[in-house]
Amino acid sequence: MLLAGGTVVVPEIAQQGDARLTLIDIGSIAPLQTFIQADGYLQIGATVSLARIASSPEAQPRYTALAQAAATVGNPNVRSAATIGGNVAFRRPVADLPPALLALGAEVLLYGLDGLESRPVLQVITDGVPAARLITAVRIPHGSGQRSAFLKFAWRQASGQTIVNVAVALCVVGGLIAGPRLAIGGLCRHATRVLAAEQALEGRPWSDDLMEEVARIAAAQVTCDVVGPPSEAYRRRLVMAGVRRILADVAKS
Amino acid sequence: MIVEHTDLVNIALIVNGRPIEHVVPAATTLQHFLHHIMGYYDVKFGCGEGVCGACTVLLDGEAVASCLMLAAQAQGRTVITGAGLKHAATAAAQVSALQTQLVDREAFQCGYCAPGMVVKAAHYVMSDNRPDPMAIRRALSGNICRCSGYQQIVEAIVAATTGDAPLGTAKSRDDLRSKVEGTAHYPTDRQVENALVGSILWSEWPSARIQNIHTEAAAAVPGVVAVLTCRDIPGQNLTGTTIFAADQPLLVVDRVRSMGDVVALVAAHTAAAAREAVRRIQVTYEPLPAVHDVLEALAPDAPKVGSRGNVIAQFTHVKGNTEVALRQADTIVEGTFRCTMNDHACMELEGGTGWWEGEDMVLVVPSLTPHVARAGVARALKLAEERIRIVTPRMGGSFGKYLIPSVEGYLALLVQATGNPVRLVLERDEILARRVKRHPFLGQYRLGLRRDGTFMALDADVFADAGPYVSLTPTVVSVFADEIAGAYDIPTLRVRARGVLTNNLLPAPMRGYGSQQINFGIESIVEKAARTLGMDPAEIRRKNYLRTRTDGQGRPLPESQIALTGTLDRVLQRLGPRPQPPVGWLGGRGLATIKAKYGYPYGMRDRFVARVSVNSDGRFLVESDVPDSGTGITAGVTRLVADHLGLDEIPQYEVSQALIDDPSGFLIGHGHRPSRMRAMAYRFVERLQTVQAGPALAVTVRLEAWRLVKLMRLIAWPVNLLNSAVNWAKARLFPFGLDSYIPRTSGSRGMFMVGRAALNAADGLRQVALTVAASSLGLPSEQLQLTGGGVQQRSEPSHRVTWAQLVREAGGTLAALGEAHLPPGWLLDPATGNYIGSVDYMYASHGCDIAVHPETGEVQILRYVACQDVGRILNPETIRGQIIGGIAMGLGQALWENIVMDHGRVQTVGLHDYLVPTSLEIPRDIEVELLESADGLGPGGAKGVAEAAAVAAPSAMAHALYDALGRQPSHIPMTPEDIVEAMLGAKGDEEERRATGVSRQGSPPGGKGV
Repeated sequence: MLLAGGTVVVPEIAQQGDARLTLIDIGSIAPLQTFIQADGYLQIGATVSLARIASSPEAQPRYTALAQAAATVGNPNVRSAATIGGNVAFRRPVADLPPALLALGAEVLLYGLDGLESRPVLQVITDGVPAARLITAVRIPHGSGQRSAFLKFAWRQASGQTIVNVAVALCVVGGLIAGPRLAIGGLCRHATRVLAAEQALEGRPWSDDLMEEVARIAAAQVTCDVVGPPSEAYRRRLVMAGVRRILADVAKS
Repeated sequence: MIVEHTDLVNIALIVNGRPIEHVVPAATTLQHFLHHIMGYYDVKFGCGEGVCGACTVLLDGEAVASCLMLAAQAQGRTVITGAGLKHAATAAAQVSALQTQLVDREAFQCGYCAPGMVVKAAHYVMSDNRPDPMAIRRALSGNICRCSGYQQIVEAIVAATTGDAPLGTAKSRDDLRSKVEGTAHYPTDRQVENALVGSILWSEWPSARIQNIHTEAAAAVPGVVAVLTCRDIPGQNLTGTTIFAADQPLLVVDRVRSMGDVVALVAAHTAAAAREAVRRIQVTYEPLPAVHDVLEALAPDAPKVGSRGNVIAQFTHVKGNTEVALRQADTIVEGTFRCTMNDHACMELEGGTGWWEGEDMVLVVPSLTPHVARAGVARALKLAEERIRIVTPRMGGSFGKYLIPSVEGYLALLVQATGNPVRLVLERDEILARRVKRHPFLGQYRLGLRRDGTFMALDADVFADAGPYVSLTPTVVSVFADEIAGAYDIPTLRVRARGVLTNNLLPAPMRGYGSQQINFGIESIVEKAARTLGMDPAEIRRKNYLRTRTDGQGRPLPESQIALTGTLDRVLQRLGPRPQPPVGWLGGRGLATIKAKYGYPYGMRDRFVARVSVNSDGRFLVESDVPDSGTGITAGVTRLVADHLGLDEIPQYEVSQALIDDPSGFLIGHGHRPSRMRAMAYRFVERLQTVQAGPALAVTVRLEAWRLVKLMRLIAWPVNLLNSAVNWAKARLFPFGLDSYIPRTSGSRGMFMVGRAALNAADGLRQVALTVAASSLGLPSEQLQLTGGGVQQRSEPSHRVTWAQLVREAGGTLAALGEAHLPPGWLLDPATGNYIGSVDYMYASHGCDIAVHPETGEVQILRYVACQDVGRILNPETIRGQIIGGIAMGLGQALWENIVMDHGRVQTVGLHDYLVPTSLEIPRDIEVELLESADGLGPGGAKGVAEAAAVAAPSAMAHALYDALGRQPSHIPMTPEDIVEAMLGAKGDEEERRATGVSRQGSPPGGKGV
């Protein structure tokens, strides 16, 4: 098993102190800790801490959703250890980075014996990290003129377990919305984009009615297969409220 | 680095400036390595999942949760722990100033979270250093403090960043300083070489018969030293508090009654072997019908939880003729209200270590009642009580939990069976799923009122879920009966309070036990009445507040003030105009006024003893048998004595083994033990008194028909008389207390009882000192006076002797013993002859403004104000800390802390799921105002403090939600989902009202007129 920040793996090891497994600590591999601002994309090394992402000037303002998502994970002590690679590999409904990465159109760089390959983040959070592969970095395209926002609902502000999280990224070209991506987490095994809501946004001008309409579509269309509490109906209400708020955020920015 | 996880790895790192090389199993966490292996006891364990932050250390200057990383990951890095902050190269002076501020502002109480919190605070001061309370709260949000409510911690950090001068009290707090500097040790810190690891097999069913238990496979696991079942108990198979009943087995025999029952124990050389052995114990169960709801448990055909009926305590509180009053009332308001379970969530895990020391067994465990713990262990082990030493210098939180036995019995059995030191510490999930909780409550109310809002009658049935055993539930039920009317004067009462057995978890006292639940009940029905009548909630309260205070015998005290109106007025004044909620949010204001007991005497004559002494170095020592769970006894009592005697230095405080051995103080007072005959006679009388509760309860259990009250009165009369006669005889014949059966510090009384005893002892010491000085100086003692340094002549201060000289003169130590008594309480109900009741009360009002999001159920607390009559302010920062901490806990119980139960099984897992408030949950500036009526029973007229805030806060929050939603919360906690459901219900009603044109009772238009 790979060990980076350890915030998920270590409590499991400590709990089941007698299970046999092989641990590989990748936390000290320097190339995995880099933050690369390249032409056309931002590349974040797999073991870059969430605390660094949350406070990094590189992530602002273009990747606001990512910084916001990183800032809501766990609490400050957890964020200083937890890594972006770990959060992508952490296949639970409550993971906070996947919706933001989906909205930002991120790709995951995987290294294996046959070299480096790049896969869409959706594929990695759906199918998991393929065998004999290591996440080396997450690459986020620039998307010029793009704005984004993220919001998480949890019943406690710090160390709060995600109930629903939502993220959006879009551009505004000539007063019209272009290339919107809206992703939602917490309702099923992994975060998903809500294509129907994205279509509703595409090519339309901002209006309160539009935001309301998109929030309704998102709440109605998103797949929910986690078992409560809280109930599915309540989770969908949160989706509606959340989408409305992040759209309002993006409209303001 | 690639390792097999069981492999040993060699690690080298620098801890607090010291290079360390060590070989550890690869799976060792950094916290475990530092604490257990290297002895850095300031790196505490709280949750093991990075939520609580008790294990926070600086790793290469970054604050991390050391339970979330392996020791091997720290290879080659630099670690700084809470006790080693002076090694943080950059900012030793800043850190020292921070520590002084934290001590100065009494920022910590039990102090268990302190080392981790101080690391985080130091990290903030060294890296960010803005005096911005919100930034500080964000930085601290991964460090949970259960006691303080965070406010004084934040204030101390702000003061440290701005370089404010300290308040100047820090030098007097050695105890707190040791907590802040990480040198204070707690029961689970104690490491003994080669200690075995103990583990518990819990019941698999909430109710089942055990057909057989096979332990052979478990015993065969390599490394296992002992596997124990009920057959291996040498003495009596009994645990729990036995004041009311002896019904709780230490290890179950053939029947389990809840998921908290213990089936077997294991001791092994490693934790892994112990876990494996527990897994391999084979138990065959025959599941039996279980009952999980008090109302269902009352049904005639309900499964019987115990050996007799399910009602194990019933108290009636009758005043006047309720039926007539209800008939005359203009309006009758009805309501049913519930409180669900809460976990104490003490930051320190439950458990400790035990070992033999020669003939004696030493048990380092958390306990607020060392005598009870010791008696229980002695009984089970068939050992003399004197051979068992319970050592509890301090503990990482209690909040009432450790008033009843914890795991010391299991630990002792394992130590005795193996002859080895044993460490038995429960895991967080065991504590959540198996151990004691706050009493769940159900109250059904009918309140009759006049049109003008005057209360006329209260008819109420209230219940405590007692879980599977009697334990202390009768006292909680008696509190229900006693405090049923809250802060209000209700001319007629007809109240029946019952404790009902179920197959849920065993409950235990928790901060404001009984009072919190019952005040939530009465406050809820009063709030509903206000809104039903369209009255201002403040107005209806003012109109009905109690106007007289009564003493311990229920007699009115004409000269004393009652601070109810005063507290409410101050709260309203401080709250000022209603704040504007954010756009799209609903505003709500909640007010609550409470009356809650302190100094709970259990219906018996109660006596506390303390000793004050000075040694040949002139150092003062205060001793008692009460351990400090963070309520400020250590600081408060020593400061009282210093003030009283005018000392220059604050005395030390110690929990005295001699006083635990002999809580009556007889031994210390007389220099010899009471004669055997005398002690036996005393025990006999004690027994006589405690068993009285039994028949009295049996009588009340059968009290179903109200008309029988007169007859019952007659029946109870002899019991009543006997009780008084025994009390009278005891007080005269025996100079001891009844303390060995009574929880010591319950009901906020620790400080004020020990304080009074200590003052009494200080008076004694003053007399002794004057007498010795008189002979030394050759002057009459009337001409002498005490000064900080010793005794001097009033008219000629140069004629003086120092304390050290006095001690030499006296030929040893100068000491005096003091005592304090409580009256035995008052007659709760003439029909039962039960004297069990409180002797005095705390009064407080709270108010809050909140904003609620109608769609998501999110709650923002905009303002929070509390005003309490504390009698006399002994130490403002301690009192403020206790009140803010109580509010934090109360708000947690109103909104976040939810033990989800499914048929007796707890579904809540870990501290990521049981939501203890973090620094971001608690409102930023809780305003606390203190009133001094100076007529409490404590030293100088002080009252108990700690519990009142926890009692009031849930009601204030519930009323604010009611105000915002137009719909009353019928239970706490109210989760966001509950709030949305209530909201939808209110909307439904509104639509219905619009459609039908009929107004619903309970949401009048004038309801918002606070």
